Amino acid sequence: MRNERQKQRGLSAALCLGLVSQVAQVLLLRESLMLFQGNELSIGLVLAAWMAWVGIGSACASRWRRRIVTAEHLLLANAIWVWAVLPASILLIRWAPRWIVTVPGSSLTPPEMALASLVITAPACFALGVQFVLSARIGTVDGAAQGTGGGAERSYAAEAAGNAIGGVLVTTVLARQWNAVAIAFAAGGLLALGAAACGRPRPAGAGQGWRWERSALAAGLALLALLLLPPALHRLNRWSHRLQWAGLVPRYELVRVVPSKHGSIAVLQQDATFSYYQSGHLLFTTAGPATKRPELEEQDAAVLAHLALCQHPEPRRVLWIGGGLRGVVREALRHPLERLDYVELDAALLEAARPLLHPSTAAALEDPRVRLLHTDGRLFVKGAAERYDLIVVDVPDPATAALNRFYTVEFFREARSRLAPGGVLALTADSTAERHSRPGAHRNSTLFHSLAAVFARVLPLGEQPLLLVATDAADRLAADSETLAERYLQRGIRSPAFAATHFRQHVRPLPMRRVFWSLSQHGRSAADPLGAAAQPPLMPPSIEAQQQALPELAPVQAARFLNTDMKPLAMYYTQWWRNEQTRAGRAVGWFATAPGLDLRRLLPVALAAPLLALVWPRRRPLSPTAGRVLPRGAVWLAAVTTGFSTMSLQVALLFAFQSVYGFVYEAIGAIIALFMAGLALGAGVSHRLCGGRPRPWRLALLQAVLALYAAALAVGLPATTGLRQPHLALWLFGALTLLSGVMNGVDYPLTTACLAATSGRGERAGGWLYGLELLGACLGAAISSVWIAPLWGIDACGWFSAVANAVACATLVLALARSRLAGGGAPNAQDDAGSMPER
Amino acid sequence: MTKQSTHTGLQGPRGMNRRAFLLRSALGACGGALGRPARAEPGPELGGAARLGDLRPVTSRWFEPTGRDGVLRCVLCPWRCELREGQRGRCRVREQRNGRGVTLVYERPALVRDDPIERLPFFHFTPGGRALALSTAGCSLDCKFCEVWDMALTAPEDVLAYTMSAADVVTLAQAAEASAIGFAFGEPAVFLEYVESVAKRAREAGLKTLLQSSGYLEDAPLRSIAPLLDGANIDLKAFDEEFYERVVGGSLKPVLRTLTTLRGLGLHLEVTTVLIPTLNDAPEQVAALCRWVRDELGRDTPLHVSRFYPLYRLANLPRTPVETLERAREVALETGLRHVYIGKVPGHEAENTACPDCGAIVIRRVGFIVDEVRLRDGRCEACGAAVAGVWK
Repeated sequence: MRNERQKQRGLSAALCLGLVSQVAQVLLLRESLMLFQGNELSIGLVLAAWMAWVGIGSACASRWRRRIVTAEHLLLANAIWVWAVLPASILLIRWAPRWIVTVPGSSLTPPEMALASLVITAPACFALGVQFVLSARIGTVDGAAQGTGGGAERSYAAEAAGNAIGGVLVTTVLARQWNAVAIAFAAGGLLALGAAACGRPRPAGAGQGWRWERSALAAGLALLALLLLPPALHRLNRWSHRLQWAGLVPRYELVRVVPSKHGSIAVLQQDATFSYYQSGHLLFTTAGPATKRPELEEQDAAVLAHLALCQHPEPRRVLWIGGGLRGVVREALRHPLERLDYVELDAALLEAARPLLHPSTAAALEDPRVRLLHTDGRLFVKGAAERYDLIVVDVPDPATAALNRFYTVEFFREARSRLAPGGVLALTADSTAERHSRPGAHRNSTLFHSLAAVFARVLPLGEQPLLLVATDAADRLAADSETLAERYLQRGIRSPAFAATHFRQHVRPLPMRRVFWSLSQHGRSAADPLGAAAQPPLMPPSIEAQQQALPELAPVQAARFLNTDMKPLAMYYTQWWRNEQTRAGRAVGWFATAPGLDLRRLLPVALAAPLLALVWPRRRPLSPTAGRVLPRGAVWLAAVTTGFSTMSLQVALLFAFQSVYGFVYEAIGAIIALFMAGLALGAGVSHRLCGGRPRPWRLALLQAVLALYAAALAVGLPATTGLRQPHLALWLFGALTLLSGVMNGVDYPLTTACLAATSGRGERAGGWLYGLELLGACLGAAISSVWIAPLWGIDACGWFSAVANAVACATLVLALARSRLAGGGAPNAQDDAGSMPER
Repeated sequence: MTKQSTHTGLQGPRGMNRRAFLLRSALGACGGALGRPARAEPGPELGGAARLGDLRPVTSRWFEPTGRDGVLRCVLCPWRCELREGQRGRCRVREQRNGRGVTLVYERPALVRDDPIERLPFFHFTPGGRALALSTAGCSLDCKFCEVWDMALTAPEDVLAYTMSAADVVTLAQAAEASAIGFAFGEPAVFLEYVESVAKRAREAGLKTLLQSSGYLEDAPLRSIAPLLDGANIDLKAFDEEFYERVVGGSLKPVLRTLTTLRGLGLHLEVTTVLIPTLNDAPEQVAALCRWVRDELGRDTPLHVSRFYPLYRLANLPRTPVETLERAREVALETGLRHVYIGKVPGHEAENTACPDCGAIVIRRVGFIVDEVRLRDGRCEACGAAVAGVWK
């Protein structure tokens, strides 16, 4: 009975820890993203720092002796520390711009981001790692389970369940209702409360006389806290936001901060203009109600609107994806349109902007011809029944997988199917004047070739930024300013910010010919496809001549210059380019080297890992009685590869899901929660089946199953891009994610039991393996999302995982076979009793 | 498609010499005119094709011994880099090689384009004319808002560059019917030897020469090049030493010295300041800058107050509000400057040139496109007052 209570206490502490960890992770990631100005590379860095500190904390705690204080006391003290440092970490991140951002508005380099990530995550994450081991220690039943890691296994399952609950809570409820400081404070408090509840019950009769006074005192304090804390935390949150933005862009007035499921929105004012930041990244600037000449203020929007609309001789129905708040809708409506469908993903953005828009922009949004749609643009294009004369993709550059979906061959095909006969697709992309940057040239040529793979004609306009227009009709696109000016004047348009003369400024023959030459010629060299950006001859042939000559050119190197859902190359080049701009030094070198990497060179690594695992560190008996031996390295390798492959597969599933389903935040949150739920389920089932006994053959079998599952995903994922029913996609990816989680969950108790049996120290094994698995997960997330998926395809994540698990399986099998040959005892005598599947 | 040839010179004079014909053929101009299809690969036979890593070290006279064994000092810019064998200067394009101080970008322009002169920007210099602009890799500064960072802030071996002698440049400019050659868009201060040789050839051919630069130059090289120039537009990036240190990676004083030297030498001079929100847009700082321009360079010096757009290392800073630019212009006009322009807001009336006496618009522009010129021999058609500038 007492043992049962002890188990329960350990489980509740781990559940609490999982919930709080997940909430804290989301909070710190979101806040860090603000500090790093929305650079999504920072997510990988923060997660890596997170896992490193949790792993270190866990590994350190697993070595601590029980002598000094009891686990319960340590658990409570550690939880109180987390309670204090979680809100403090938020404040630290918001204060950080003052000492980390040297010039307002300037971006940080990856080394700076890595260092900041380590500093930011250290106080909380180390403590969370310690908390895991302490929870496991409390849950370990005295005597019976010592040395088996049973407490750690249960804690692992309970923590995963807490992760799932925390993920759902923070994304669906907390982030919308509460501010970050309040959430952090509440989460820390919950952890402390959970830890306090884990204290050993006092002997009956002890302190009974004080029970009602203590209850009354606790109730009074709780009431006082409820009354005083929310306003105080709210004020603290506002104060720290002001502090943050004063560091990021001093002398701008912070008008408001609006929570959004897509990232916190901050609105800043200077003069009569308003700038909108999401997750710390500048989205756009608009004219405000008091702006005297909004058209001049928002002139870039006017240029884009008129350049795009005049590419069609008679546009009537237009679909505009993103960017409408900065004046393009107002300018577009100057053309004789029948209908303008404006898709804006984030409704919170519109709500934040609506009272701050110039009346002319606000009136345009109310125009009866305008239909405002709050949905994912890709999803809308996939399912729309309408046909459009012009579709304009006005979303940020493809720096993330979610944004890349608007620049793929598959999306272009979907958009083409929504175009009326002779319809035109237009999209914008950042560029530089002479396109000397190698990744910049790769990216923009990739966009050109991807468009050219779908449309008969592609025309690049402008230089900074680049406007790419594409169509199948021969008589639509105008490469000369005179035709565009004629169309503009015929429509009787009068815009204070744009006149027909502007076309001469923006559509200049010679630069256009040079841009066309650069984009169309680059990416065709079989010998060196990612060589330096092609520079045109000083006076290239006319665009018409170049267009006609395209079929005669060498074929495009599709493996490196076609951006697809399954291989988001444009995302890779954009990230490389951004790192080049931040002068990231070595990081840029990694980006440059990876595409040319010969994967065969990785074979020695794949072979060296099992060899190393077999000989180092020294082998120990698997169990004191059996006399069979198993190198711990083989178990470690299994933990790392499981962490790696499940995270890599998770990345692959999320990428594929997004491209099929569209970017729907809640669905992504649900998918992640499903993974964590699967993890909890798998760990629970595994623990129940194994009962904490070492099952090395079963572990090897699991690695083999994981390898097969990964290979099956690698083969099957490309077929999912053809899915047309979003709900079917949701179910399919949900099920696959749950399955991934289950397999990951099953692994941990198996590895812990094996390692505990070799070391005789269950909790230490649990903590150590927890850290190792996190390391593998961290590697899997970073390598798969940054390198494998974009360069070798999303399906390649499956192949890499399959190889990793196959290697781990082979290592275990070799080790066990070697042990048997050495006369290490019967395979199923004791260690693996019942380890084979039931027949 | 054919209308472009009127100003690119594709249907230029028939009496071209053999060199010009070969060059134009190589550049694809003839191909374009004859409708020949584009080439499959930028092959080596294409004389004007850009190549990577083809460095041609040429000895520079702007190095001097330091007195220490094996150390040379580059005296081109105020950094005065002291270089040992194999070491390269801050500009990335000058180094000591085989005991000699060399430039690595001589006759290796990475940017060659013909543009309206207004784009360089020169608003008081032969309006409506065209200039062949060229620049190489390298820069002695490190501006966080550099527009050509992928060329200027890059080592020459990483940038594709053309190989063009001074004679080739002049021939190309003539073929493009350009009236001037502009050393612009990058930083001419780091390829002064090339500027010198091209400017000499251009003078011989009757072409004007324009310099658009950060002005980060030492006095001696500046004085040596100035006689070969017809006009200069110098970026006065702020009137704040700290801004130069933090955002530009240099120092203000040498730039001010360059400006006063050029003014003293009687060169046509225009000044450009990119107004960056919160960094250099404070009205008092703008006023101080304008007072200095008025007192040291003269009230007729055209000042371009240019709009900042988020880019490069300052990609997270919003663009300059038009009202900030207008306020800065008002401050400049109040200070007494006569020609203050707002840049990069095409269509703004402050792009036009007004007569300093009667206020009539004498040059109407949209961006760098000149719409109308109402000047006769450099005088306002309405009142006859002289407008400062080079008009022929």
